[in-house]
Amino acid sequence: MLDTPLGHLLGDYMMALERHLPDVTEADLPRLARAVGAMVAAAPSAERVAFAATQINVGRKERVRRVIRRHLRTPTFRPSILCRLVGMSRSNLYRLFEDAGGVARYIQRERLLEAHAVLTDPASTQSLSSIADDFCFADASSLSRAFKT
Amino acid sequence: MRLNLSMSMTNPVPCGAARLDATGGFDIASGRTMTPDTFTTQPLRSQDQFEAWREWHQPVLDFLPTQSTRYGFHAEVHLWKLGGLAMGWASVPPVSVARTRSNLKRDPIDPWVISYCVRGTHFTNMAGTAVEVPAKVPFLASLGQGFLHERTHIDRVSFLMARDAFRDIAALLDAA
Repeated sequence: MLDTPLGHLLGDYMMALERHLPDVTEADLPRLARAVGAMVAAAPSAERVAFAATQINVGRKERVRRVIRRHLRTPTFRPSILCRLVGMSRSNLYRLFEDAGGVARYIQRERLLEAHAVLTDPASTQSLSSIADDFCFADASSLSRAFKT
Repeated sequence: MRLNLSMSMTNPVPCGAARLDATGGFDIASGRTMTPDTFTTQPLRSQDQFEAWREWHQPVLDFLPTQSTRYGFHAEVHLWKLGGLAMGWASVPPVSVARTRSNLKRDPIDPWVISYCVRGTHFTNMAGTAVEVPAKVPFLASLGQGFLHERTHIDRVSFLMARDAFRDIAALLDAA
């Protein structure tokens, strides 16, 4: 139920729109759809809006995570490239990964986790410097230092 | 003639029919006024009215007969198709209406429906939750989910909002 002040306004709006529909022309339809979308979006309670925002961020974050995972071994991959790939600004990306200390730190952490997985894989014969190279660290020492920080 | 809820933003207004029919659309005779699909049971024999109403809504919805529906069911609906958005006005006697598994299977459309009853109450049961919706309180549901509504006589306006046309507020509408 949209039993909120703006929900009641939406009801009044629906009644008014029904009265005025005979005057609406084809050219008005795209703007009409936008106006209806805005009225409807305003109607749910603040709690529901907050919940929906959380859901939207969960979806966005998952999409960004997938892109990051695909590019962990790409040396040129960095936050500015990620912004272009996912169509988001740097500040939005930062906010999305704020709990991880920002998107750059998140990418670094994912690279470390992958490098660690290879290092601890008994079947792997890769050297530390080769793993460092795979996951875009300058050298084996940089990778070792990154593990310690 | 049946309820046809196909809505498209790429072809917002089906043209080519200046008369009222199930595809609805734009009155090309004047080119300026919107013409709704209209269906009324009023001209029919009393004993045929409910079945005609039921038939018009198939396979989207299933109206359930009661003792009184056989003695007459004077109902009327107007539906304006506005691209990815449709607007309806209806006056319907007391009745139960369901979107059953069978309806969902036969016509798997999933627009959001926002109903606003100017008169009348409906009791709705969706996903195991029962809600009484009084007059003059908008109610949001999705045709992508099953439900059972029991209604008093209602006069209502409604929006049908296609998911593709309102993707940007989809999470909000699903959460509401």
